[in-house]
Amino acid sequence: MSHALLARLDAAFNAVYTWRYNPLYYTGQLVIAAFVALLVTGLYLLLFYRIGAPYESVARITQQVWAGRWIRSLHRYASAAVVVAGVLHAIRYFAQDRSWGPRALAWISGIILFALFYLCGWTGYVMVWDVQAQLFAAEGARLFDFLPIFSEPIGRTFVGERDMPAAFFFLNLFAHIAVPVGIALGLWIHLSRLARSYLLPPRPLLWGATLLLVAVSVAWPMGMTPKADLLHLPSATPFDVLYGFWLPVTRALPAGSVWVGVLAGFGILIMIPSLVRPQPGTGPQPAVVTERMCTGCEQCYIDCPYEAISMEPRTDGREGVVAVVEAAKCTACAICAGSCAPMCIGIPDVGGRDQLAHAREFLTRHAPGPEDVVVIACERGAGGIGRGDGSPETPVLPVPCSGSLHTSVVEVLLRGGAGGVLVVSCRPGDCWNREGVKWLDERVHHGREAELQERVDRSRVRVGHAGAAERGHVLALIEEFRSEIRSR
Amino acid sequence: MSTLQRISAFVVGTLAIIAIAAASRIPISLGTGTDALVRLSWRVDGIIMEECRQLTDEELEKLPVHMRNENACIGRIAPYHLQVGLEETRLVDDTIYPGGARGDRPIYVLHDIPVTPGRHRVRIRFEPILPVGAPPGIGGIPLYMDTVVTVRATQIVLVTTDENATDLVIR
Repeated sequence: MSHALLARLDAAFNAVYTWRYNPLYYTGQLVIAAFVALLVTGLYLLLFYRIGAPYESVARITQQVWAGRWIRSLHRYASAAVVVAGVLHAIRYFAQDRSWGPRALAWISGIILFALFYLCGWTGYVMVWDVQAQLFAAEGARLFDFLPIFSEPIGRTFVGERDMPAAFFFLNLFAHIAVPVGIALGLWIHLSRLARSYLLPPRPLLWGATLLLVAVSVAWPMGMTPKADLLHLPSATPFDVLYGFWLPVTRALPAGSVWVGVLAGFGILIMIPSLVRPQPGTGPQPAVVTERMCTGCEQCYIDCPYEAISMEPRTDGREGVVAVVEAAKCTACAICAGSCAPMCIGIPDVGGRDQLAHAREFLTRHAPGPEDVVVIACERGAGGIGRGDGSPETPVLPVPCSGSLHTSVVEVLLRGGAGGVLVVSCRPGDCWNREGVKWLDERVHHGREAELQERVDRSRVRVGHAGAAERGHVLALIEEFRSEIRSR
Repeated sequence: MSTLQRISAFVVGTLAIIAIAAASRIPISLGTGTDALVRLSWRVDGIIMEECRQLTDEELEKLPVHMRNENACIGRIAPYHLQVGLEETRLVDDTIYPGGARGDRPIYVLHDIPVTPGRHRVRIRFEPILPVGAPPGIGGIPLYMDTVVTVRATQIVLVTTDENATDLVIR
């Protein structure tokens, strides 16, 4: 159900932003873009921050330093954007069932990254030393004092017995700067199993989001809230619900209960890859290589979006290298099947030869005529038509990923009598296997290895894409192409 | 991207970012504005009381040669009994144990007592709990307070020890 909801939301955003710049497709990249904005603005703010007078120095930044108020606001809003984009990113991968198996490392590191962002945000708020900072600091101290790790309760620092020591703000500043180093390392781990990671969103989206953030920072900058006063109870304060939504809840609970809740929540999130993965033996199988047919061309090694294929010395006595699949990294996307001209690699039942057999069986069953359009559709996107069998007028041949389609299948279908072949994939920014749509397009139109042969009439082949909830768009594509084929 | 789409994208993006900006400054109320607190916060070092006993030959045999001391002593700080009364009501009646896994670290008191603004009689007794038969004066200094304080709305009245940690004072 979550997948269906997400697909509808995607479709709505596609209608507004077009699929090229749909921000929901680039939530991970938007987090990184916001992180870069945080680093840049943070370095500027650091020039004026004083640990001996934290509140006063932030007030000076806000009121006197050139553009200080706007840059501080941008820093704050970018940190809020990180939370929003990060949550959407996690929801997307959970809803699309992309959190287990070889993707578990990315999921777990993503959760840890999110926790680090939160910790960094927490220390950032404390740096200001206003009423909100007092709340964050006092509640944090209460929670950490429950753990037997400090010889003297850190909560005593915030009782108002003496002025806040500069050492506290130094430690806080140190954490605020050190945690982003951990975040950078975490990002490297998060992306380590991806080939060709795209760190930033498309330029129009990147600049659009940045300009809007800057515009809001200028038009609606953050002001100063009252200074922390440890001998007065704060009665009301402007409050960041994105970073502090938990505070009203935890303040009413014993520290032990909060820790139990936090650890349980964190544990469940970390365990999601184990909880949602298919039962052993029922999940997709990793790709396999038929060594005697492998020419060692390296195309599958290049195309694999997860760096699950390496080229190793042959074991059959011949010279050269052979593709070897590392099962632990293979997501069973089958893109290698589409990239292998001699059809020697692929997941079981989706190798090139299997696809040809399915296509021939399909031709026998449907016998398409010269005025018919055969649709090859991705099972995950493509308006959902890849999950059905199509209609008598428009038979559908489903494939697990359009990037796994061997172009010979297109040729076989056309030779088998079909008037045209329409391949419908996911939207390019939303490919379940990251690069399937890109490789399909390059194989059909740009001669990428395992290309559609030149002898095939390109006017009878069309590539389109649609999200899972964009059935109407797919039907329109089919109708348009069918009309074109029939008008010849 | 059509002009209509550009305008829609701008409007949706602006609304999203305004929502994010608004979410980072939602005013919340954390109290009634008329609450106040009496906060107890002090530290006492206590006095380490050693409990010694003679090890048996069997126990000595199990120890490495260089650690065979006939007397084994464990140092502990005596816990304290904290009683706090407001007017005629006893609000706190608690035992405060020393810190550290072996109970040999100082004792910290950190306790917030919500009160209504106004005049309150505050009575505090903080006394070491001595082992039965321990001579008087051993185990730490008792602390007492019996005073009337005037508390304003939102004020936190801090009760702590004086510079010598021999008496309770209000700050």
